[in-house]
Amino acid sequence: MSNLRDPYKHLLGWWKNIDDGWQAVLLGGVALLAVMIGVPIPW
Amino acid sequence: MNHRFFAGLGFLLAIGLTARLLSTVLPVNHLIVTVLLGLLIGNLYGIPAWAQTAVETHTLWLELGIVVMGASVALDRIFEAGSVIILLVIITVVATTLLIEFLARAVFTIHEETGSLLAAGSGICGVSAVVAVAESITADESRIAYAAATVIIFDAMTLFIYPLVGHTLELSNTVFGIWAGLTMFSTGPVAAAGFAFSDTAGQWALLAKLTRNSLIGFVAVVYAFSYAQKTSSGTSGATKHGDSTPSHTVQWKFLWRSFPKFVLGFVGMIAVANTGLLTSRQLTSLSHLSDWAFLLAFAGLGLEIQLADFRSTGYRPIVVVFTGWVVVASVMLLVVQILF
Repeated sequence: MSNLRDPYKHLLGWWKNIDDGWQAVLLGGVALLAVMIGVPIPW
Repeated sequence: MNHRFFAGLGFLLAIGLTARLLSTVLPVNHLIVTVLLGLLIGNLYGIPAWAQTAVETHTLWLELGIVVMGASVALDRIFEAGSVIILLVIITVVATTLLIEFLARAVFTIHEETGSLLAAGSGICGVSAVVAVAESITADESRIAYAAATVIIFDAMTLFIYPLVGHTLELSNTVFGIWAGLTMFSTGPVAAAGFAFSDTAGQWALLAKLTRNSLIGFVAVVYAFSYAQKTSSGTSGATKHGDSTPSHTVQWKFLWRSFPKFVLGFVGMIAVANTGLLTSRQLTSLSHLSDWAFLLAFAGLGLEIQLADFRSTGYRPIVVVFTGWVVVASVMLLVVQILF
């Protein structure tokens, strides 16, 4: 169980350490990819 | 990232959705209602402990909203007005900074560090400029808090005043957006006021504001040089600024460190969207995501505005910033109206 959680903890630790500007760029990139493969976002 | 974080996000979302609902019966844009509702909850009941971590992420949502909003910006619009906006931004930043410095030092005799922090906060991008310049001149903690509180007061005020003035004077979307982007302080309130006026105004406001934000590193470096020079010519012994004489490598690193990285994402998104790679449906989806991100951001922004800050700053910094802001905002409104 702890092995499974390690990559998650690693990723979370890395995420928390990067600048929030880069976090926004990465999330924006993920959103762009999601929209490009057809995920609709309603309002 | 735990249950509390997601519960906190739910809290922000609940504020935003309630505001959207309220705005259907109130004659006010839902973004302004979101900030107001957050402000009311934050000041009447405080931020619940379990929501604190999520509320602190409101800057990230604002930046994500801006990055994704890049997909709605037409490149020809930037080519059309880009050079004029860059020129106006440089003039506004220099004029505001010098005017506030002059008022703080010569007219109201405020401590020079506080004056510089107020000048940077008013001239560039609010609290983040205060923090960046504070770091470059190694300012006192108490002065940083003082200047940041003053800037936040103006953020809260201008957020409501600008759309009111814009509608009263029947400004066009372009004029309102560029004027707000040039003369308001922090990015969040600029986006809220801009999009509260109209989508087009919001885009213009962010274009002007992000250009202004990009100058943050340059202004901080100029301040670092200025303070270091003053100290080295003033005293020969070791002083507070004496060991921070800037070297070029350090300054370039500082310049990059203070640069708002999300601006790169915004520019990248404009580039991708303008290649024609995305369908109109996909562009609409990205625009919706931007709206959701702004909703979370403005709920958090409202929650973090503490009215107690009004009492703690004293009147002199407020008068300094108010005088500078009235002069610059009035002159720039005329200039923008003539040019656009």
